[in-house]
Amino acid sequence: MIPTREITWNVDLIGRVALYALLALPAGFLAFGLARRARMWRLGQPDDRFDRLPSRLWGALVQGILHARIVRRRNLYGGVMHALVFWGFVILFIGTVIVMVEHDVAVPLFGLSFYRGNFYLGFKLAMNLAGLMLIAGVLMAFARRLMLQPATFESSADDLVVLAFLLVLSVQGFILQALRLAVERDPWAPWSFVSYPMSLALQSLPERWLRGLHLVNWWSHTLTTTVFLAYVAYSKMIHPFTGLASVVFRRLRPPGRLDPIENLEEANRLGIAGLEDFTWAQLLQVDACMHCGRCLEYCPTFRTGKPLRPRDLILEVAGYVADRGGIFSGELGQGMNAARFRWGAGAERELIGGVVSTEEIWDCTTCGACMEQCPVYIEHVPLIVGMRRNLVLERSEFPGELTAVFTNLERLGSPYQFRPAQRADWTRKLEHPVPEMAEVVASGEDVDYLLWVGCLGSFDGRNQRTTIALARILQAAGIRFAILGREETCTGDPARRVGNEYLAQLLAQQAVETLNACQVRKIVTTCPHCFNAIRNEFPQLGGHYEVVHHSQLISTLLAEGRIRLQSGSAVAQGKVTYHDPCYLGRYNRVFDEPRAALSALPGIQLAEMPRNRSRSFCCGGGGGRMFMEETRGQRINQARVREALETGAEVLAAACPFCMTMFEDGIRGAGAEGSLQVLDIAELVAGALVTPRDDSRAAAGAGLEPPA
Amino acid sequence: MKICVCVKHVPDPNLPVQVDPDTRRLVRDPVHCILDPADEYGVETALRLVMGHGGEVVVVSMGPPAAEDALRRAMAMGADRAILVSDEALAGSDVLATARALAAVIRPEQPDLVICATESTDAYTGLLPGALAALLDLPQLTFARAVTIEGNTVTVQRATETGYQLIQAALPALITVTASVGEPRYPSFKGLMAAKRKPLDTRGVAVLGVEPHEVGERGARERVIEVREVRQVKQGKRIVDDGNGDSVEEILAFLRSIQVV
Amino acid sequence: MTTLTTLWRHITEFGWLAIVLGIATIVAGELVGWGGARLVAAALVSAGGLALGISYGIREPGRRRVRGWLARYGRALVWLLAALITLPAALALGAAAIGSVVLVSHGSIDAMPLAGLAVAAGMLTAMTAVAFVALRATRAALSKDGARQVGVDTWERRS
Repeated sequence: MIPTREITWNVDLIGRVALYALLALPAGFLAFGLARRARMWRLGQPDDRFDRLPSRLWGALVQGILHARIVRRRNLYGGVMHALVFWGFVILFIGTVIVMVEHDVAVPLFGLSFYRGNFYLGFKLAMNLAGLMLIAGVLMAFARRLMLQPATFESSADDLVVLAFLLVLSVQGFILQALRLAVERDPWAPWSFVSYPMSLALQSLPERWLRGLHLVNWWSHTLTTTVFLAYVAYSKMIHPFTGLASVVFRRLRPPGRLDPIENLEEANRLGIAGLEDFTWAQLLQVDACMHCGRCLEYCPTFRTGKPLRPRDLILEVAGYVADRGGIFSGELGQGMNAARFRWGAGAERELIGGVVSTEEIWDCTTCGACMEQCPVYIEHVPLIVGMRRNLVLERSEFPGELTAVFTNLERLGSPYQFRPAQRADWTRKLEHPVPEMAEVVASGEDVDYLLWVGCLGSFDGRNQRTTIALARILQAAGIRFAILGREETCTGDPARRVGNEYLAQLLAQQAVETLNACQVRKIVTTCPHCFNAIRNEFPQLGGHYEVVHHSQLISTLLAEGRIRLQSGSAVAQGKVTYHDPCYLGRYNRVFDEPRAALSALPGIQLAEMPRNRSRSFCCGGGGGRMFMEETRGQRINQARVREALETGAEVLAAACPFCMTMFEDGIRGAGAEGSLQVLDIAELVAGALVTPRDDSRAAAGAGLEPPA
Repeated sequence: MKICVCVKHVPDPNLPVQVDPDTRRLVRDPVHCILDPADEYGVETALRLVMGHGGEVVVVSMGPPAAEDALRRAMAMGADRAILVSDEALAGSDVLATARALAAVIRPEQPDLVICATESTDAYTGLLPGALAALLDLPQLTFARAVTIEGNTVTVQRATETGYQLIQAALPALITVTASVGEPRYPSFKGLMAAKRKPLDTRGVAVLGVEPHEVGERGARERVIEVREVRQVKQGKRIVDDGNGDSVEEILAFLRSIQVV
Repeated sequence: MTTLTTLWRHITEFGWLAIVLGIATIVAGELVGWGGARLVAAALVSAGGLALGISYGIREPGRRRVRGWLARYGRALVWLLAALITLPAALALGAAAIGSVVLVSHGSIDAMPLAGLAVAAGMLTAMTAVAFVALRATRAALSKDGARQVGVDTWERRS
């Protein structure tokens, strides 16, 4: 006897008709839900996201099917849970399709039947396994929502209803199989390893009962499926569609690059203040949010108790879109979703101030931890900067501290009240002079690198020490470099990140003109913000340079043996922990070189903080936050300093002048002056540098000629 | 209500000052000139008053054609229109001549209020508002740290070394404002763009009805005799914290002595 | 082009037509016993559903009536659906217990059916608990005050 079974066993005519007639409902509701959302997306501004289709689709495969962003080491529970539900559901769905192909296509049209024999046995096994996986995943999800309750979680009725549906559906599947097996008593029944024991418990009952129960449960299962699929349109369960679309149409441009406002002077609307100001991709993204809260895991504002929580911001915007004709993914229990109504309720609310608060908009450090974590690639930072743009350019409403920053940038080319003539003052502390680019060009000479010092590195006493250390290293390595001196101006990064796009464009334009006039090709800088702007944003303005961060250059020089280190450092010994600057690490993926440079240092052990590399925790200084008072919640810099202290390190290694300033401040704030000091990588390396003077002394001691 | 605000295009006070040794005049490189930060307070005060009472803010300046920048900036902040008095004949004007020229354009406007800064950030004479008030025959209310208008009366809190005086006058009047009246707004980009299209009226001496010999180098009764560099003297005293808390008292005593607290 | 435009203009009518035709096909096919009808019916009914869904989806939303209807009958609907969805399964899982009792009374119970009973009991417990939690949350969500209340609670717990 060949193992198989009769499809639609025990189902009467009406049931068989209903099975097909009811298809209209889930198909209709799904189409309705997606069409209604797509109708809103089409209201958005244009944004070309149809380029590089192969990598878009490949990414969707890796993210969707293989769960690359969902299963992560730091969130194994959630990842495994989702994988179980996803794979359980997908296998069961494929199973249903296989049965349908056998029943509705292969047999009636071609007279072929494959749903038998070994295939059938394997199928039984796989389906039982998938059902178990689904049940296990759903129970894990319930446990997380009701018992574990991570701080990043907020449950609504929709979450619980979706999970209940999934559980009941899989239980019904097992029951139907058990009831059929109890009647039919297939010899191969043990292959259905979950239903089989149940069928044994049932099979002593009269067949009439079993058939009756089966039919009732069959109808119930059909109803459940139909209602569930229809419900999906209004629920976060729409995410297999919206989420996948969001992944396909994800940003492939560099994440550190904010899209400029083109033709600023002719633009009618500036930034985001209403529905029509979003791009279609942003409208798609807010609909794709399934409230998972992963954006909160490394978010500096959420972790320090500030009003801005990236997930809630997205849900607020999603609610705003839904109020204007869309569908909120999680309509049931939207009231439970405190986030959506934090600042009031009602469809007439203004986007800025009524739906999203200005506190949220100004809290953001633009560190990008939310975007890094989001499984569906929602871009929170451009959204926030968009709203900042509107506040600054259209309404001139921004934290008062920024007025001086803007005025200084406008008049002096730096956020600080220093004269351009003071830019090169730090060079006076060096033994060897540093030429200015204008002199170099005039004399017809050439340099290896332009050292882009940056405003903090030029004017701020603490960061000048980093600049000086780097200059010493470069001089020791025999690198020919020059600075722009008084010609250097801000790259526009702080202005751009706080939404003053006009000022940012002026500054960037000016910087590009200066660099091009000096025929600069290679640039080294200590500031990751300058680094990011030069690397990712200057090309938009016709500035194409090869730019490296000083940590990269130093690690290359060390690897090539162009600088040598003494056996002991003059500045630090023992445990050192490294803080990844957001604009170097997350935005530009420079993680290894700074560590390589530190590891090369004598007498130093590198101790990692729990939150490191792409999961680094912001210092609190990005996105213009360094120039604003931090009045809400705890201090971000102090939170990070405490994390550094817990590693037992005596030195917090920085690679960014903003981080440097924030940590100097944070160490004082946390009262850790005695136990922790912050030093730039350049300072650490320069402190152990073998200078030519040391060399000649060592050579003299060894009775050798000094090297020529 | 109509408010006239006198503004000046001055070299950026953050940049080093240069004086032409021959003419003994300030070198005014238009690239590094800005709307006098002291005048921003006057513009801000006018905008706030107009916001409450309705009306029009007219900014007035005398200077070379490049001074248009300062007026555009004031209009970017929100002023409605601008008048620039610009004429070769005006070069070298002293305070009185400047006041005459400004009075000649302000008088036909018949403003309810004229606002000046206490003094300009380049010459720091502080004499112009008085001269202007006299020429326009207006009451002068100086050193305002707060300004309110009710009906036909303007009330200012006049800052003094120990506190403030409340002074009232019937409109029209002239007031000078200090940096305590309220932080000037930063012009929005919208404002900057709008300012490009706002009316700016440039007038020469001919249309003002001022005699050419009353203004400019010829009309000037002040002369710059000599320009000398003043040696910067570093003042201040280092108070070292010895841990017993006396240092705090010492600092407080110092701050009290200069009436900061 | 014109055919497409015409089709698009009458998409609602075509949607309904496809569904009616699909149902007629499946009824006829099942009565006559022609299996090929199933595929045709499934395609027609799904296409009809899709067409209707899209045509209503892209229209100006007029949800107020549906909203009002849901506000009035929503809770009754939820209870009805919950009963239809969970009771049959609960009944079957309960039957496994009766079956086991029968086996015991015959004195012929061994490990396998007992395992089956355990599986059924586990499923019943999980399903009941889950349904209870979901129903409670739904009730809170559907009552206006309750929804806000719960929202405020979770909010406060966090801050």
